Amino acid sequence: MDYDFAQAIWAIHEVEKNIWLGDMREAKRIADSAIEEVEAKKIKAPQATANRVREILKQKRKDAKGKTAFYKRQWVADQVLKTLRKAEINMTDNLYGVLLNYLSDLRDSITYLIKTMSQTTLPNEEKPERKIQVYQGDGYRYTIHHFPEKTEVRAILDKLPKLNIVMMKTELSNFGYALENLFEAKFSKAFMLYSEKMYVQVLSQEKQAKLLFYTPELADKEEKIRLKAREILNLFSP
Amino acid sequence: MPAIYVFVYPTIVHVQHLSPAQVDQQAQAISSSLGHLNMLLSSQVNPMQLEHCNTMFSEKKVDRIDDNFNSYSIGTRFSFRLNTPIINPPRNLDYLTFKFFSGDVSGDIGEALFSYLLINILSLQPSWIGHTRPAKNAGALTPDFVVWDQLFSVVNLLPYTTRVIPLLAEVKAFTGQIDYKRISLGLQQMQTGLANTVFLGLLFLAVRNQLHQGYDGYLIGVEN
Repeated sequence: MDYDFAQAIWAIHEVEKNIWLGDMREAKRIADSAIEEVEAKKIKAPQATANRVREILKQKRKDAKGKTAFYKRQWVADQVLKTLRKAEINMTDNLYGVLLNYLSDLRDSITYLIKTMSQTTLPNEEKPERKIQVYQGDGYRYTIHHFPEKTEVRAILDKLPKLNIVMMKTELSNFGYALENLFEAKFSKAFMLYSEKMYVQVLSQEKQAKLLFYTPELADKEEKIRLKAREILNLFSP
Repeated sequence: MPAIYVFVYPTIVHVQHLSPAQVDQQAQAISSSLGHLNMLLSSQVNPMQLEHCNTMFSEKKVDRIDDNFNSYSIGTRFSFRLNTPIINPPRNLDYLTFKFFSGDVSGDIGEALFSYLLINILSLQPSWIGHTRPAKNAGALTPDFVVWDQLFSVVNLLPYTTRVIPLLAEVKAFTGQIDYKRISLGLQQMQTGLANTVFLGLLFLAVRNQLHQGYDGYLIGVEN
């Protein structure tokens, strides 16, 4: 049977991307829809095969107890291979099953996380960190993460960014930034911005963008960073 | 800025009928020939992009390897040793403070470098790269990466093969001497992962290049 590996890989990447952003609900939505799509096709064999292979591996690892480290791994690999050949297990099924299981595990973890985040009756020491606010921009979603020495703005763009570097340099100089250390590849860009009171590392990879702000402590720091982040992100999605 | 130097092993390694001893021999042959290969391409590594690859595609997600990459790539080791208990460690193992580079950190750099190579040098879309290492840790039999190499950017670098995508990739990183036993384990993992399939396997070896302050990346095509 032909499996849609590209779709499964894409779904896992999208879910991980949204977890990185902090948008758990969107991550769950993508995982749900990808799993529903597979369930609609009534594909069950791959997951059963993946679980069976996992059991075989587990059993052989148990059997190898007492053997020295390197020889143990070699012995386990050899025994597993022999069992797979004997049982004529199709590793294509296993591989697709592993991807589906992984997607399903991710969905379970996110569901659990969303549930615990919404628990308001937990005692203070058991409360998870405060919910991350997802801001909506024009053509992108972004979140702000605070660290001791920096503030990180993570964004997912709706479309692949088309950056005109010459135009961008002009625009950014209007905002008071100097652009340095430009790196360009087909799906990724990176550069640094210097201004009088800020140093920003900017990076994009496919539809992801990350801005690292290093600023002195200011009273209205978050508001200023949001403003600057939007100025830069707007250039990514003209 | 650190750099990556890419080499391609000139033949596809066929693993289907190899016994463990033959896999060992094959690994020794690969290990001894690595120093004699011609470099295919080299590229500067942008630390910010590498850091992002680390965040998205490395299992343990060590924070800010871009800050530490130069130290790792030139082989700086901890010069101090912390006080250790007088009693011996269990089962004659060394204390962590007596160990040099952590294998976990080098593995992390290896996975980040591999995804960096795919995205920033070979122009693969990040959404074509499936990082299945976490599933492997959960006990599943899977390679480190499942790559949907739609434009054959990686496949075209390898010797001719009739195998199909997805590409199943296993990453091994070395910060010291190349250990043929780890290559052997990598080949065995590929042998098991490719059993009864028509997929192409790829063993990626990231070896610290002490002379040039960077990493050598070896691409080895594997078939069943």
